[in-house]
Amino acid sequence: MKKSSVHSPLRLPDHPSQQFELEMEEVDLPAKIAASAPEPTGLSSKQLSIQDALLKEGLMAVKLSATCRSLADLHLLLIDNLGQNSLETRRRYVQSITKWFFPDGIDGLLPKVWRAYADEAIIIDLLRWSYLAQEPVMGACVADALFPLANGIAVPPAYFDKFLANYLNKPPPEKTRERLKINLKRLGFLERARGKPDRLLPVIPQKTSFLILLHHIFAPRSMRAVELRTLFTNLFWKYLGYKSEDEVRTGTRSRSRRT
Amino acid sequence: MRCVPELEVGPEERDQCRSILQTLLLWVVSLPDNLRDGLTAQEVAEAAWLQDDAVGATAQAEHLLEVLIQSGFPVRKEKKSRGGEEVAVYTYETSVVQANPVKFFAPLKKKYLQDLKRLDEKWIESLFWDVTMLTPEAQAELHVDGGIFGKCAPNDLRTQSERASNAPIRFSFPHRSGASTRRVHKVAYGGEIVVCDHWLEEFGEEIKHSDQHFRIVYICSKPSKTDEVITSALKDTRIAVCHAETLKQETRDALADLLAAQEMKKNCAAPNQGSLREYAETKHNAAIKAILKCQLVHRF
Repeated sequence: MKKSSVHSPLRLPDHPSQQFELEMEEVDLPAKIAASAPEPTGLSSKQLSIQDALLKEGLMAVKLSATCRSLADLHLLLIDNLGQNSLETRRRYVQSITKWFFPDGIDGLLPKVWRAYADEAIIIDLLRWSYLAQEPVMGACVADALFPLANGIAVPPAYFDKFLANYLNKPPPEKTRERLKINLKRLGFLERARGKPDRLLPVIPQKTSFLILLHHIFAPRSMRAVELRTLFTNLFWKYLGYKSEDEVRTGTRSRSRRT
Repeated sequence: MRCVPELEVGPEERDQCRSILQTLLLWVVSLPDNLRDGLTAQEVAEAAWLQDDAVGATAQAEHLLEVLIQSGFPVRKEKKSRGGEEVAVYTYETSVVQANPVKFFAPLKKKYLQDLKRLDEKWIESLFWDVTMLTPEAQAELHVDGGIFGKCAPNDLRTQSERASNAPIRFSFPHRSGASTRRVHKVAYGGEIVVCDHWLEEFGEEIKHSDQHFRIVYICSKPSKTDEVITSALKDTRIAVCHAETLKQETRDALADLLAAQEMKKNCAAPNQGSLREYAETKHNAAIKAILKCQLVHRF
């Protein structure tokens, strides 16, 4: 019988299956694809790389925006206040922050909400929504890959890799695979600990955040009735952290009773 | 009436729905059975004092009555002849089945227990489940991330609409995937895993690829051929065939529970049927755990 070395194409990942003595061959995942490619500020459709989710920096930017008259003012202020040593990195971060959190300008939703509520918990919910709405691969991951999973579940090591491979239609670069998980942790969806499987955490949004987005998305100009089925087609509630339509329905009912 | 706030209509229409339900209920309790003939939409509109300048009171009543029926409210619509003309009449359904989840679940389970073909299909589907089917409790207790073949799932050939209607999965069989043994003294032996729902002669053919050292064939349902016939068809000693036996009653019970729970969730989609959906969800999760346990205990 011929022996194949561990370097054969049939080599498998290191994680032993719990149900098979044999390892099933997963998609071959070359680590170096696009690893050295420059990182753009976001992902256009099916772009291979993901940038770090800058939520802490986004929160700072929203707070700083209260004192700014224009996005240009905010850019200057951010470049002065971001903690990174490299000016180039700070500039790049400013671009990303603007794209993710200020798509509607200096007088957009997040600055307005900060001025009205000055509540970090609400802003963090809105930063999460805004980021996921602007970053297609992260948004798809939350809505398509995380949403069907029950809170508290231990996510198998290959689960996100499989999602990325399907989403990108090609094996994802190692850096992208890792960044996806880091960003999910930053967004509050994933608990990661050394030597343990990643675990899905419940994200509990503020009720006010839900109401703000409901009005922002569905009734930006005037009052109107919105059917729940219409509401469910927009992914904002999944980005906020709700896990079922019933949860949203119950929440909406309790809010409408109170108002 | 308590469920009216859950209706997906505007606040004004919600009040109108409440008036309609009150009118129908008063009408039904104020008359003996033999005199109840139902109210037309126009009669409902007049009795409930409905007003709608845009579409007219009768059209508005028709619309809201349809909403109430579709949302699971106890309103019955029947065709009756009035003055030689067939009209739709509406009544408050006093004999409606109370929201006892068992009354919804039990008949569905009975139906599926008799449908052996559907149970077999569900069993095959369950072998390829992934982690999305699990609850954390089931995962922690059984130490699994899905069905026993979850890592070598074939493509699902169903269309989007078939998936939405929860039609049985159609897998692309036979499904072949690469595998290897664990490393022993820095060496891993590569081979092939084949999964299929029935036996094919080609599974027994000699392994020709030099990098393949074994072929394991899993037949997900009991094959029509006997073990002797299959054994005699194996032309290479490095081929192993494992096949399922007829499902045990315990497994069939769990599969019927799952199918019934899935159908109940789908049937009870109205906003006021949240408690029924919760019941179905509990049954659904318990059934999944039971099925996975059956896979681990009975194996192949």
